[in-house]
Amino acid sequence: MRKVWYIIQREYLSRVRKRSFILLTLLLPVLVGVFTIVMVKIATSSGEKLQIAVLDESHLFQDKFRGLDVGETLRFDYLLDTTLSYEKLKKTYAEKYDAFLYIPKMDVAKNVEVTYYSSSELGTVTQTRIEKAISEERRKIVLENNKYDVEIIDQLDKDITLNKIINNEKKQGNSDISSLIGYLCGMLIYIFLIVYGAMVMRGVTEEKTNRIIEVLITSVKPFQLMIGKIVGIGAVGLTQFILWAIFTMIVQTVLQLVYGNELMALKSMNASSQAMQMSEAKQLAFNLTTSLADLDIPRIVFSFIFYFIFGYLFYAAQFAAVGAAVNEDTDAQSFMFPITIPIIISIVLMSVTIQQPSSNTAIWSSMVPFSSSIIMMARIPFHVAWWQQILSMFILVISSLGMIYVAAKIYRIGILTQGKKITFKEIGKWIFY
Amino acid sequence: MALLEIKNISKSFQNNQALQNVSLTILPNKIYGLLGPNGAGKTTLIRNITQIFYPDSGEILFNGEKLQPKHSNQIGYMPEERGMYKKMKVGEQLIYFAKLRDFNTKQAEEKIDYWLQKLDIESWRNKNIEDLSKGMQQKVQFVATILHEPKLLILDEPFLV
Repeated sequence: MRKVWYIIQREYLSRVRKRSFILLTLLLPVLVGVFTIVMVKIATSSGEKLQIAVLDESHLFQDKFRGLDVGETLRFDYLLDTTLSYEKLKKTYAEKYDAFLYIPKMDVAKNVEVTYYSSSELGTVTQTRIEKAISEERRKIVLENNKYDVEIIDQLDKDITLNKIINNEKKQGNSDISSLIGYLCGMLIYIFLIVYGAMVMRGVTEEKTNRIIEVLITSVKPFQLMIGKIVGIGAVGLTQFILWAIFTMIVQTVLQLVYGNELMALKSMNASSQAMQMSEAKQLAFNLTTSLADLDIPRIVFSFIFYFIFGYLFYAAQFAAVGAAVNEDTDAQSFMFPITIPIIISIVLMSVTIQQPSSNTAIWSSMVPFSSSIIMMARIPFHVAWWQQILSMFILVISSLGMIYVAAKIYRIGILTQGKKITFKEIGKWIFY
Repeated sequence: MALLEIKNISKSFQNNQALQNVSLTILPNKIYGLLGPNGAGKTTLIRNITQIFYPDSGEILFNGEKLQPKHSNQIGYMPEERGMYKKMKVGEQLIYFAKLRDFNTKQAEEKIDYWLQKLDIESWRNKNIEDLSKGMQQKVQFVATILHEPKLLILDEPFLV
């Protein structure tokens, strides 16, 4: 056991001390932060304080843009003389205005075409605000012209509330946040399996091709060596994920402090093309908070760690066996194929699962150990029955141990087999040797 | 008494007979050379002694006892090709190998100090293996092989650099 501990230590320390590990661990949260800042900057690029002259030939939209100037970035001036041409306007008002919004006389029930003249690009936030203001006003006019009661229509437009009572417990949140969390967890496990599984494989192949194995094998058993490597590299992955989580939280907190208002505006805009007003942003924040409160966070965290570890053990054992069987990295491709295919299929199944978390496909694929670590994790935010989760966990633990046993048999012989091309048939023989 | 006694061992890999009724006696404090053409089975014989493989038939005795895993700490084996982690420092690598031979860190450091000074390669301690020449790597590999003071030392093509 002590020797396995030394092997774990070496595998772990030799990787976390690498410059590439430190750089990647630090850089990713910083890149996420930079990306967020860039997105905020682009989306709120109308924050450059625009003064817009509005030429409304029909006077239908007079004063309808008031109230759009959140943060005093936009100011609309309504030009009453609608006979002026753009060229003339440019000359007369070039110094005073940054842009002109031209709304021609039109039949609002049909196509509405509005033109924006400016020497610089229009920010997406401003564009959406203007479009929305025109669209809402047009709707009101058309409804009134057709003698509909606008208030009743508005009332009908409001989202209905679906009260969910699951196992006699009232659930307030909507499914969006469950889908998001499920998708995120499944995706993280997928990335972890592929990246760190491949790292195990390369590590084993390195020991084999460098003949380090011949020295090591005189003092430790092949099984100890394999387990040490799998656990050591798994710990590296876990460390990286934990550090990413911590650093990302720090970066996001800092961003929240510096760009709080812009982030809120951006989120509300992304969430719904209609959610522009602050009251709606607040509604969204409220929905998000109630949905989060409704999620069983301790269960999600516990399940994530469990499926993260056992899903990894299940696949890392296979990668270790492949690493031991092949003689060079290039040979590994054909042997990796049968391992990576179930992982990729799991990701495809995950999209189906998130849409229908209680479908037969979702239930079965969350039991099969080849896909359970990804699929069950995607289902858990949707309040999966405990018996299903326990059964899935039990199957995964047993399968992981079984896979380690089989992989150790392949590893034991493969690691010392040099210089000949290995076939699947031969690997099959090693298992029963 | 013989340190190592190999009695009629045979070893096959599927259809390939690598060793057939090989017998050999090694006495203490003696130097032996194992000669033969390529593919004669020299490395297979060594791997049977280092317990990487086990013979299909025959037996191997170490100090009069049937060869067992506990004897591996009394055998030092330097393979033909350098068996070291290229990106690891010389000192760390030697400590790792020593610990796998049941040394604690303090004992391992004392031994490594002794051998690095004796071979006058103390200055290499913090160098990565990949930064050393093949001959220098050979020296480090040699230190790793004898650190645990084995009774039987097997050097596979030691002068091949």
